Amino acid sequence: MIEIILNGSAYQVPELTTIDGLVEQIGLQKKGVAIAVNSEVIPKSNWTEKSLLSQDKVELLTITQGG
Amino acid sequence: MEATLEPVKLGSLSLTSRLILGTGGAPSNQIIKEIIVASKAQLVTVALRRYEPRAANSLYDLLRTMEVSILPNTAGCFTAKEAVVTAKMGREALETNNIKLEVLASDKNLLPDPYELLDATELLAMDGFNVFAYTNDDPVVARTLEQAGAAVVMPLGAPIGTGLGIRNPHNIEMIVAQASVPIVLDAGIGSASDAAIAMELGCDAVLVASAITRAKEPHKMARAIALATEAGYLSRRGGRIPKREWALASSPNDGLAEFDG
Repeated sequence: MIEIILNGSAYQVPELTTIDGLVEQIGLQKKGVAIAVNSEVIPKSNWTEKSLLSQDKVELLTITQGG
Repeated sequence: MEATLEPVKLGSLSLTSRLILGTGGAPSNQIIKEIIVASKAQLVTVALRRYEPRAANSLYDLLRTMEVSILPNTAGCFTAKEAVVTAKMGREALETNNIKLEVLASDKNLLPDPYELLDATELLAMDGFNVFAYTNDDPVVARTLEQAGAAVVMPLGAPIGTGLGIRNPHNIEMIVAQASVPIVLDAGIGSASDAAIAMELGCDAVLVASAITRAKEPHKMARAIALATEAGYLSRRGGRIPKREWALASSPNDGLAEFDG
C-alpha cells in the first residue's frame, strides 16, 4: 500500500493504483467529477493510464451549489 | 401579433430564457428543483468543491434529470492560476467549454480582481474556453476583457449577496453600448424590479442567485424575477418614450367642448 493525500487527508491505496482504480475504490460514478494530481488536471481519457505515486496530492472535485 | 423572446447566444448555448439561475445559497436540492421549474431557467450555475461522501453527487444527479445546461464557476479563486485549474476541472466534470470566471480580490467585498481576471481570461480563451467573465461595472475593464477573448462579459450591479440593485446604471449602459459580446448583469439583484431595470439598460440576460435562493419563498421570487426579466427585455425592445420636462396630454386638444364656468 502507498499513502496519497486525497482532498487534504491521508488515504491508502494499493501500489500502481490508477485514477480509474481510485475512483472505483471510492465507489464514485465518473460523471460530474474531476481529478487533479499535484495541481494538474487529469483528463478522463487518461484515467486508466495515470498511476498514483506515494504522497501524490489528489484533488477530487464534484459540483455543488454556486452562484 | 405576439411579442416574442429571441434567443440569446451565450458561449456554446442558445437560450430563450434570459434568466440564468445561480444555485448558491439554496436551502436544499428540493428548492433548487422548485426554482428551476418556477423560473423556467435553461442555464444554472454551480461551484466545484471537494467530493463529500455524505453529499455524494446529488446535485449533479438532480440537474441531469432536468432540462437545464450547467455552467460551472470558479468561485473561491483569488488568483488567475487557481481559476485556470478550477476551470479545467469544471470542463472535465461537466464536459463543457463554458466557464463562469470569477477571480476575487477580497473575502469581505467579493469584488473581482481585474488584473488576475484579465490574465485568466486570456489563458482560458486561448485554451478554447467560452469565458463568462464576472467583472466590476467598469466600462474600461469590460472592454479589455472582451478584447482578451471573453465570450460573455458579466458586470456586477452591486457586490455578491448584497441585493443592493444596480448601483451605477450609467456604467452598465456604457458597457452595453460599446460591447460586441453579450452582457449579463451578474450580482446585486435584490428583487424583480432590479432584473427589469438591468434588461431595460440593455443587458442580454441577468444572473441571479441569492435574491431567489435566499428569498422567503424562493419559488415565488423565481417566477417574479423571470417575469421581470422578460418584461424588461420587451420594454427595452418596445422603446421607451423620451423623458420630458413638462406634461404632454395624451387626449386630443381638438374638439374640446365648451361649458360655462
